[in-house]
Amino acid sequence: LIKIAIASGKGGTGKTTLAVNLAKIIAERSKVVLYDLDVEEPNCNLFLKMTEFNQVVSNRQIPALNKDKCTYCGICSQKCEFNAIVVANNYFELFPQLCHSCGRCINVCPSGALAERSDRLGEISFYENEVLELVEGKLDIAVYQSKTLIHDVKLRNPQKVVKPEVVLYDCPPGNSCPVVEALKGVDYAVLVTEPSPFGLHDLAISVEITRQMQLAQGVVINRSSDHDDIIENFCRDAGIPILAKIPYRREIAEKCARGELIDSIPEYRSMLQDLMDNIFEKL
Amino acid sequence: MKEIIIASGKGGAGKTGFCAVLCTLLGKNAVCVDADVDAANLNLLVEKNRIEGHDFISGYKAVINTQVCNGCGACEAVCRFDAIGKLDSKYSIDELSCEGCGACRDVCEYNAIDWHANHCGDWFISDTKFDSWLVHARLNPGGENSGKLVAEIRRAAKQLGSRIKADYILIDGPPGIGCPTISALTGTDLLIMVAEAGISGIHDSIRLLEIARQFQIETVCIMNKTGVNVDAESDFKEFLKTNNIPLIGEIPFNEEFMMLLNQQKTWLETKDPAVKKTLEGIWQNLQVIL
Repeated sequence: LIKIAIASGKGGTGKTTLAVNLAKIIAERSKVVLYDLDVEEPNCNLFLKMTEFNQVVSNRQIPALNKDKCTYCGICSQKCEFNAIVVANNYFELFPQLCHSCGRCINVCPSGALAERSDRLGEISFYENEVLELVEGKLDIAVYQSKTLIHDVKLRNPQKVVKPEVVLYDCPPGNSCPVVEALKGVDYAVLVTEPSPFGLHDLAISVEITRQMQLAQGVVINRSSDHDDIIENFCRDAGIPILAKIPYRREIAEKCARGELIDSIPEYRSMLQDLMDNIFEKL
Repeated sequence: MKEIIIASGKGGAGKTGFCAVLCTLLGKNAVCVDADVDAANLNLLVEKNRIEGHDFISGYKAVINTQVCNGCGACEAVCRFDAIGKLDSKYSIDELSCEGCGACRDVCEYNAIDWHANHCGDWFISDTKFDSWLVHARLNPGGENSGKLVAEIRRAAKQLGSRIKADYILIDGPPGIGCPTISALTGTDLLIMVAEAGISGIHDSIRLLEIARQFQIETVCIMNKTGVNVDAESDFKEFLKTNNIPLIGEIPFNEEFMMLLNQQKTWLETKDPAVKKTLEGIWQNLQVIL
């Protein structure tokens, strides 16, 4: 099983475009499961239009108080590093948005007054079509813990594809903890960028993360133009291969805006095939 | 002092580009805040000099002292974040996975776990090419506490704003609708939503609007990159109308913005008179609201 992540520091560089098109191309020769880990804004199925066949709720565990046992000693509150618990005279309150579900309060409670209860993060949906399966996480509105949901989505096995050969992760944008969670355990990271000062700046931060995680990686330049040298120079100095270039064309922007795949156009189809070959060669 | 946030749900919709436009137009009346702390780009367009730099320290990280560790594994069993692992009979903690909860310290009988204040990043105050001020940050790569860092730089911007008697705090929001976005949105007076006019951009904008509604934030919308999916656009306009969200401008898809960005110029420096006129129209509409 090969796990490939599609990530980028900057948002809107084309992660999802690449993930859905690449998933379809890879599916022509291997059994693929695509995971939409951009749980705050999952968009893969806007393009793939697959059929949902199952949906489950994703919960995390947060402390629940048994009032009969609590002595209001305040140890849980003192030990919580996230200031998620307030205890005063006969008063206990948990602020779920601050809770990291670490379980420390439960471990340290001397009177066994804390247990765990489920707290809803969002939904995990399973979709299928003739060639692949999609597992999608969707964070509930006004929930903070996207990282925890990403962790849960990655733990879910596909339900239709038996023994998948390739897993593709469409990662969240940015360079903070959600993307680290998404990148954990992958064999290869494809970093999508655009040839602009913004693209370069955010790519350089992403590379610091992938380096720290010791991941094999390559770069795809989207909206490729005559300014590509800004990315090419960086990649040369950093020793990172450029796997593919997607040209900056109105035609592609239109297809993406309509939720269409680009693999039907021969030029892009062969570009995607080359990209796939390039990645598998590196593994 | 009014706090205005520019957000979009989707990344790459044009938040920073439009924020730079407002930064120019509001000039010394504004303190700008780049709340996209893990991929901050506004400074690349507007920063002149970095005036102040501050450490951002939040929470803790646990580190195992291998000299003292006897390898019992109690810490690994209690860690909920899979941050602790064994290598060559010694345990160690993955810095990127550790959330600093301290549960491991409670169970270590050998006091082998050190506890360090977590330096998660830095934040800065800069002046800009346009007489406005900029408060921005750099979260350490892969770092935590982005929401707290956003809160911290918003606090700093407010202090600076009241000192220099600025009329506006202008926040360039992060993508998404999670922790840092909520932190950037909370308590603002106006959301300028930059909606990218494709199916992803529209889908993401609608999720952002759900949050804005929960937080009861007045919202206006600018559509960016219009003309590439006219059907979705007109549906979205209906949606905005139904939800009483004023559409204050539409910027057509154009290749020039990318070129301007590469010359580190703002959209206002466009050579296309139609785009220029559109931006002026948006500014006029905004002045009525502000």
